Amino acid sequence: MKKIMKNGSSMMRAVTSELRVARVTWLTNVRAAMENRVAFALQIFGMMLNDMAYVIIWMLFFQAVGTVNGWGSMETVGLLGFGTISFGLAFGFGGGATWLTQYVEDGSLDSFLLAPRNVLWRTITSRFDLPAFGDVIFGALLLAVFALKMGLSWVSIAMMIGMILPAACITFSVSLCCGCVAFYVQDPQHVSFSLFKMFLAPSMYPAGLFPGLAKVFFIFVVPSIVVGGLPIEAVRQESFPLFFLVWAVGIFWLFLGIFVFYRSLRRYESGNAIGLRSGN
Amino acid sequence: MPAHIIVQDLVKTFRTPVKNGEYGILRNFWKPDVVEKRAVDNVSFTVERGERVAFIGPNGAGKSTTIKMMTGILRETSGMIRVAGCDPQQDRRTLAFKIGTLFGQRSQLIANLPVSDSFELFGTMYELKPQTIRRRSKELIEAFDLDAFMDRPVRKLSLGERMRCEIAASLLHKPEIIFLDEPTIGLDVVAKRALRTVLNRLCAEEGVTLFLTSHDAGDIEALCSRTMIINHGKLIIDEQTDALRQRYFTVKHVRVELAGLAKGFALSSAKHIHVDGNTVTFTIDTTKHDVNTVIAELLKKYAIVDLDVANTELEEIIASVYAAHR
Repeated sequence: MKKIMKNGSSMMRAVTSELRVARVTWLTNVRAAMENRVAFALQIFGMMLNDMAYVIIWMLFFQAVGTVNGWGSMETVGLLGFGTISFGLAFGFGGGATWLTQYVEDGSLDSFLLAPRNVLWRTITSRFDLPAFGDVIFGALLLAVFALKMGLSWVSIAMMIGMILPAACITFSVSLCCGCVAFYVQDPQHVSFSLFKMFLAPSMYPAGLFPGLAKVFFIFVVPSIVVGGLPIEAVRQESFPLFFLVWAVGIFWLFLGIFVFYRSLRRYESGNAIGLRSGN
Repeated sequence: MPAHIIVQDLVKTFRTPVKNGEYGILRNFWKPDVVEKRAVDNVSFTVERGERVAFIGPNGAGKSTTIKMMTGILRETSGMIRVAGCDPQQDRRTLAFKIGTLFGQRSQLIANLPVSDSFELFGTMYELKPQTIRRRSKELIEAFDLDAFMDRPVRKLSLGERMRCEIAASLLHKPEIIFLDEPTIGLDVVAKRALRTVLNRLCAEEGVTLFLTSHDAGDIEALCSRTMIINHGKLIIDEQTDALRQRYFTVKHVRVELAGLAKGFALSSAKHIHVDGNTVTFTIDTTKHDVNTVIAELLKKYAIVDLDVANTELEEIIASVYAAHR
């Protein structure tokens, strides 16, 4: 019992310490990003504009065709809200995952391996994607509009908020797994980006567009629907099985991402590219 | 007390796919030939606490690979490493608290922010309390004379200033061992000298073990009492820097200015004679001739205005060792 308590408290200490470092790293990242105020504002505004364009396109589409398998313009607003907020959170807090290919390619990962921290945590918190701020703000706005227009119950709203975290975990983990190709192939940036696009593109489409088998594929193999479409269906139907499915897929992908990263890390060969380190 | 660094039978191999001219594009794409290269080949050595070691070799000899294995960046193929009692792979995080590292080709400071912000981030990372970070930063700012540019963004520093900040940052947590991989790369003579002076002082004051790789013989002469030379992944020389110098000091370089024109200059023991007006330069092989005898012969034969006898530069010694093991 004493041993368990001791292990528990040392684990708590380690987690607290990692969180403290992460907080300082994030603050440092924000300060570094804000050094160029114009770029900072433009990137956030630009991302919100980009998201807005998606919404307008889908609104026009549903105005023209009515509904598709029960999906109309408001569901799609919710879907895009879910997608953007989960992307924003994943890349806001774990932006380093999207830089992994570059870290591996130019040997920047060395400095994270030399730090007395958890290497995965150190890597993902090393960067932060500025437009992610815009995504989070815009996603929250879209979800608020969705909740109001659909007249969601408090339970549905709670379910909706509760599924943001697993959706963000999935986005982050898929991005991490795609980044890990850098440990296996040369010139990995394009491969990684193509793989991530395979996940990203279907996540922006209403789940009603996917027929039976395709839906299964995009839930259990490439979890695109789980970061937007499925949560919206869960909220609409107030379905707890779907809610737990989102969580189950989220947890599975989180562990898969961690596993793939550490497995791949064994193949790290470093590099001697000359220049400033990328990432903070 | 066990040695501070123990490396035993260390091997690192890299496998790389190579194109075979006899195969077609598809075969090369689908099933390319794989070449296995031994970057580090059965290297063994120990380093005592407080020792200052130069680990040198030509490009691609295996220096950086060895350091990267010792610091936990790379996984060894086989062999054993213990650094400050830690296995770099198993105890990577514990080891990170005990070592400081600097890879001259790569910056660890945050480009957009002032140096002080990087110090704060590193201090937090090494679990130092805010007051400890402040106190230690102050010590290092004084030691490395960083005061003038601590508030300047890193990207606006000169290379020399940045390198001083990099080394100071790597010493923030008072490491037991510092690994410096080409710390003076690209620096001018003044910056190099300043850096060596402060490193010497800090190593002496804090009893730090120094493990350095450099292509600059000046770094080795100024900082390291022991020199290891690695080539083609194998450790070919491991001895005290002074002993290395003695062993390879078989040639003296003589420069002499004569009272008259030196045309037709001749001396039985002189080699590589070069005449330019009144000035003659030549070498003496000390394994065959006594320097005093040669100089006496020179003074007897010629009227001399000026005479200069010099040892071989360490750089030349290193170059000859590399050449001998090519």
